[in-house]
Amino acid sequence: MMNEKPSSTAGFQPVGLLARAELLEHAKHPRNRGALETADMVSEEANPLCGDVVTVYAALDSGADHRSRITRLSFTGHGCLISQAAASMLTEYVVGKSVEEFLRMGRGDMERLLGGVLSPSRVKCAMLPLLAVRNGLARFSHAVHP
Amino acid sequence: MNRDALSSSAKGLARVAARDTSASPPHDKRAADVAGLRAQFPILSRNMRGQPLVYLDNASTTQKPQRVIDAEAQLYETLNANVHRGVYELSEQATEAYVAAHEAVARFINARSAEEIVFVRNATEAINLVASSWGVEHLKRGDQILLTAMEHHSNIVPWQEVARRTGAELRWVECTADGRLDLDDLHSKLTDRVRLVAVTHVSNVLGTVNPIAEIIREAHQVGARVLVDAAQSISRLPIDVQAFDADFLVFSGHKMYGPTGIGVLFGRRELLEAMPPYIRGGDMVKTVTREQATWNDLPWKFEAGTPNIAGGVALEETIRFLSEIGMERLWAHEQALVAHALPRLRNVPGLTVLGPQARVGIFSFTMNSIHSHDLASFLDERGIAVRGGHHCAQPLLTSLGLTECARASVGLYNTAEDLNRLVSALEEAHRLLR
Repeated sequence: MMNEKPSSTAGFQPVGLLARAELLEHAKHPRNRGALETADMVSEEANPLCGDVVTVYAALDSGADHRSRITRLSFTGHGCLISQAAASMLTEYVVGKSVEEFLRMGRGDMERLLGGVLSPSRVKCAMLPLLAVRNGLARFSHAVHP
Repeated sequence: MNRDALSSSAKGLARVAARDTSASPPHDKRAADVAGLRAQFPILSRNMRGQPLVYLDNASTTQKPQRVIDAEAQLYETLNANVHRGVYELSEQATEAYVAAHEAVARFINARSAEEIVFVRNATEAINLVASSWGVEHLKRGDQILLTAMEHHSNIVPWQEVARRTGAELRWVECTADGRLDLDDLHSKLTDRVRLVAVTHVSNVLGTVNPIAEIIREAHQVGARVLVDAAQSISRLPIDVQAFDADFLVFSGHKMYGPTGIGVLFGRRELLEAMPPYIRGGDMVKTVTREQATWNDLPWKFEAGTPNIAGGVALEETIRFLSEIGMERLWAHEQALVAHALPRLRNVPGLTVLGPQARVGIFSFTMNSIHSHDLASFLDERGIAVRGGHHCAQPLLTSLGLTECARASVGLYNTAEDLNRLVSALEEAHRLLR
């Protein structure tokens, strides 16, 4: 399970997440939006309650150390600003990270990316793209190492 | 207020509702007096996100005045004993208070007697009671249950189960483009195959006030029974089950400034008498042998097990609170807020308000393609509590071509200033989020 514990609020404004320029900029002009033709992994997660859908496409590469790294991540989908901004920010953040590094990411990391504390009712919006990558990687590694 | 006055005022208000939303000017003194009652609601002095709370989710649940909170506590402090059981004085007093609460509800909605008042957990349970007991007993293959496109899930899902179990068919009355019930469609679908019409009095999304007496009159002409969901109307306008000629009418305490966990089923006496119990156990029986049992009198036949005594007594205090204000004043106050808010909301760039002109103080809206949860979060960051999502009315939103929307809904303690704060926050949202 992902780390769902509330993060420390130190260093964050408790209000105004949706007024943060960077978050809004990502939501309105998402990075790496679109399907990846050469994806090694495709994974979709949806939140039926609010209609958020995120599909992630990842290209993976095994380096000399035989550790899989995420070389590209893109996404498609629709939904609230937070889920879409989180997906956009994640696609930039994870490039070059190893799968192990990615699997250590949790709520606190998403809050750092988004630049504010998530209220309990909005956590699942921000976690949706992270969950999509995580579940996709789990299936991918199962397929590679059954 | 006597019953005749209440009944005629109900008719008068229904006419006002059908004709015009500006029943009284925004600065009506009586209306201002109503908002002055907000000091009696302790929760409204809380700050949210560092700012004074503007609570605009009253269609979800209302806040409670101190006297209602006190009434619930006082039951436990001074009157707590089981009801209908003990021969000792304390139990007799508790029973008396619990019975009196039923009588207060009967007077409040002008039922013929307290035997027609069943206490349940909430409106949802009341509908489930009617569906499981009356519905399963009376409906069969070939019968039709007529619902409306603006029903809350609680007045849909129980009937889907009745249809599945009995073979009866669900049919739907559609809405007009401006969010009223299509009475022509109702008329054409009201055939003698319709055995039940399940209809909301006030839409929890659109704020529409349905012409309930007219609907019931038409339904009775084809021999159909009518269940009225009064969850949204009970706190907003006078309810008179005899003037409506209602068969069943349901509501929740928590949406009328009363406690959670207590709700009411009104049922016409002869219908309730012919219905089998919904749940079975203690208190709903007269005699029990190893083989069988005989049922208690109304309404206790439907109140198995130890009931929510404190909730019932606090509901009576709620009714006393509302009656002292007067439902006409509450209506006038709310209509003044509607007249204040509706043009201002419609002026916000990008904002589309759902529903008709004539309405209660429920405003559902969309803003461009901004998700309602983002709008709700944005407002929350400014201390304003509204609801986002599908409002337990997915079939309605689907028929409107939506999956979700935001909703602001007023209560008696809301002021024009609260709505001004909503409007300016929405203008800000349009600038920042679009």
